[in-house]
Amino acid sequence: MATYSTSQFKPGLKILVDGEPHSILVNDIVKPGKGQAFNRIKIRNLKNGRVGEKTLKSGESIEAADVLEVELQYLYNDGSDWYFMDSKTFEQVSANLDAVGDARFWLKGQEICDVTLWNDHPIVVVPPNFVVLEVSESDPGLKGDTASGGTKPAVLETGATVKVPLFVEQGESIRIDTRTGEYVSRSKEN
Amino acid sequence: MDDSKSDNAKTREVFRRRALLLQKIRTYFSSEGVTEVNTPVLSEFGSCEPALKNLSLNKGRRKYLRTSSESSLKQLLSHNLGDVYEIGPVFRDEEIGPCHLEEFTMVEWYRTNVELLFLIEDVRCLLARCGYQDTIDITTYAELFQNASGLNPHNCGNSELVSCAIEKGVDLKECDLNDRALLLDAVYVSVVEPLLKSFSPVFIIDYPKEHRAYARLSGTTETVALRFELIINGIEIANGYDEITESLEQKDRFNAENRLRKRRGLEQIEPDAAWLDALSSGVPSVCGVALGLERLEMVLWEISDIRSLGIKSY
Repeated sequence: MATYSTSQFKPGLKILVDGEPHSILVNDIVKPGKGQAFNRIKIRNLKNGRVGEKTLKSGESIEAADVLEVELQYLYNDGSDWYFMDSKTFEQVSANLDAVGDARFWLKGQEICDVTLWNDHPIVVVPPNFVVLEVSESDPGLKGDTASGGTKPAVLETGATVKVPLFVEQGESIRIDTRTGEYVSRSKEN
Repeated sequence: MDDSKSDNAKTREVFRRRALLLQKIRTYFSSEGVTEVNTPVLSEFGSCEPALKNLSLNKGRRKYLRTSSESSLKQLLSHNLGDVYEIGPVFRDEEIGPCHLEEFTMVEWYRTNVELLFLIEDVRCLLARCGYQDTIDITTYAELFQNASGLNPHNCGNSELVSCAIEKGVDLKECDLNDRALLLDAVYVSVVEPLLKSFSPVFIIDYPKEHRAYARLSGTTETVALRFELIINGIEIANGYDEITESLEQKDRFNAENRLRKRRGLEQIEPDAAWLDALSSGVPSVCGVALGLERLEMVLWEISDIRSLGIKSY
């Protein structure tokens, strides 16, 4: 079991807290005038993103989390799991819904994703910042309709629903910013 | 090229300001009749304080780099030199961070036959002379502690301290839950200290006896230690005591610290015989304070990382 001593603490270090992998965001050494020094750390739970604080006596150790960030190619899903491949080793791993989260709305296959592995299992999947997807369903836009802010809902081939400008038609490919889930432009690809 | 030029300018500025500040401090002490002394940096004895890590040299006989000038200055007090001060380097292993340097400059001085409040006023006057204008309040440790945690640090139970600390996210799994000094620190660090940053400058007085260090206890009840800390912008600038002047009491303190060291799994440090001898031969009633010069500079020049006060920024 690998451990880190408080003297090794620094932002970005991956540690195990309450059995869950966390990343250190901020490491402060606090020392009362004549008292014991403590390390106060701000940590982010790598599975759910929750930010918390923890304080421990300087000199103590904490278990290291075996966390790796890799680029993997998305292959397909079988309804319950999503499959990814390392394009160098061709090794495949599967990720469950918790790990894939909202990324599932933007993945149709072949995208290179940033995947966080904990003990070799994916815990977080981040899709590319921009993806191109086909509009599979959208009502024809009504000319002069400004009440809806000039947008209408469109269902994409992955099942995600996004707001698109009225001129976007079914069957067209559009570019989406996955960080905001917003329409960017029409795409010539595909 | 531009970067190194601005580094040069920064370094020049740091050292020019330092020179002016030292001048002001020396002028103040001179006007107050306090004698400047220079004492050895190397000592045969290390500090027993459990919270400090000694740096030592192991060439031939082991020698320690002083963690403060306290021992030497007390030896001088026994020679009836009167009020004395020293400005010089002190060393503490593994203290590195935005507010900590392994080697820093300490301004340490002793005032004979005065009360602790006189020394607090002394610090105020020195800071004013250095250009610090803000008013500095006085509050007790108990008031601060109780307002922040709801617990009375002098008489609450250890288990109350434990639950308060755990609730605030302190990991006490590997801690001795009967080590009251440690538990007080755990609550202080997690509950009190975070508030201090937003406080106006303050002298904290009347520490719990577990944190007496080398301060005398007050009156007949002996519940509080006659100690103060000056906190500005959440960081400790100075630390003062109504000093122990009885050799036996001081020896007890060293022994108690070594017991605590043992409990915390730390190295035993031989009590400083020269210090104890000085007290045995007679030292006047005295209050003393140590002030971190670089910490004061952080306040005066609004510097957020103490490490930028060196020869180059890194």
